[in-house]
Amino acid sequence: MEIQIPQKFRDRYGPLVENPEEFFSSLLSRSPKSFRVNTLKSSPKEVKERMESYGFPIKQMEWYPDAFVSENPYVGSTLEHFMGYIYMQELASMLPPLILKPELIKAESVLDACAAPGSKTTQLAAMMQNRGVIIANDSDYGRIKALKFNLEKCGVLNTIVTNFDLRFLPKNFSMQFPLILLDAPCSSEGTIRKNPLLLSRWSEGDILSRAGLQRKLILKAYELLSPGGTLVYSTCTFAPEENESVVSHLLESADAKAQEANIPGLKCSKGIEEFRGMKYHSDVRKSLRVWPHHNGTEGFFLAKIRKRP
Amino acid sequence: MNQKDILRYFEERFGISKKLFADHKLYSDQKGRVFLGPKVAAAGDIAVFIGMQTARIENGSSKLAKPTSMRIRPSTNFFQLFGKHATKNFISLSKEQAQAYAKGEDIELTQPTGSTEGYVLLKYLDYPLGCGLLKNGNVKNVLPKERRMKVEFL
Repeated sequence: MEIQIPQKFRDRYGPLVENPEEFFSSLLSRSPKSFRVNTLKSSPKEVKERMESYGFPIKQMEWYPDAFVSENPYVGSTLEHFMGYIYMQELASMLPPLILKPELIKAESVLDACAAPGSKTTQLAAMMQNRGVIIANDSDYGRIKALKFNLEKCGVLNTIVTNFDLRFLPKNFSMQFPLILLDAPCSSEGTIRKNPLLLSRWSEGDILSRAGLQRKLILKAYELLSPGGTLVYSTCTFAPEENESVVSHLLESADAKAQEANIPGLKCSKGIEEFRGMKYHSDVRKSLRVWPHHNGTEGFFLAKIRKRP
Repeated sequence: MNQKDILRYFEERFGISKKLFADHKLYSDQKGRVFLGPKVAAAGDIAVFIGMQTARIENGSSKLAKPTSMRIRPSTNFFQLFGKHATKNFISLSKEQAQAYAKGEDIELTQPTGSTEGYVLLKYLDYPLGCGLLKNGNVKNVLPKERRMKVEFL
């Protein structure tokens, strides 16, 4: 079945990119297989040597030496995969923990608010080298099994898995965190390359309904942040209603301060300040947009926000 | 059987020192499972799961087993993380045996291993693959079903 990009989708996102046709055609091409080396169990050097010994051409990412791309479809059938030395993960989904790198080095606790299936949690744990503690929360009990499986397979020791809806936390959950990752549930437009069928059920109504939940989640996450703490808000979608608009909502209703986010070596654009007549808080331009046609990854949005000390 | 017994077992049977776990804390649940997780007071109050399962306390193989026949079964994930520190009761597998193990098959051994009967660590080269049960000169596969896969490149 040939997948078509809906006209409404084209009208919506064409004006946001400098080369719309390149953007749309990138959505219809498959993204390459990528993986991250799990440094709790192995090292990029070791994995690189092993993959080369199997005759697999792999490419190490300059912006993140733990990240690799391989065109070989058998990466998942290697002993390294069985051992949990590598974790199959889309490149863009490695970004949220990465922009927290300076803060993670000294962090004693981190909340991964929407953690399942654990790609970013296992990455956080590896970056923390199993020190400190991660609260890996997910509201969907059905997805906790996959989260547990991945944490154990990767040799993660510093997590406590919880199953709360962030909006309705029980009284005994009275902690505050210096670092919070809110990788919010979203309309996932950025993953169209992996799952083109998303386009067939794409609707603007879906975007708006998710935006409502995301606004509640970001305010709640901010509440859980300790003074001086850092919150990363991310989605794998293009819709400004789910991205800049949500961040703007927080910046306007709390004493939150947007931080400049960047990934040296990766081509990103700034957050947009206006969309279809809606003007956002001017600091949303400090956020990052990752477009699929720029780096060959999926689409992503990231914002880094600090609570005043 | 308590958490100290688990630590002593790792040390006595495999030479895996409890010092390796000094930065973490052992937790147990009612199903006899023992977990290694972060040191957090009241973690059990909010958690559905803590850290990584390291072992399970079993009632032997017989339904009529008495408490004295309880034994400890190390988890595959525990061995994959800490197995490189083991000094005894490990068996080195050939490439074909390692592939068979990853698929979930039992392993017939062709020569004596120097290990005593009971749970053993299975290795391929430097890779601590996981756990097996050595009995009557063969290794019974105890790799969890969800971890089984066809390993084609090793």
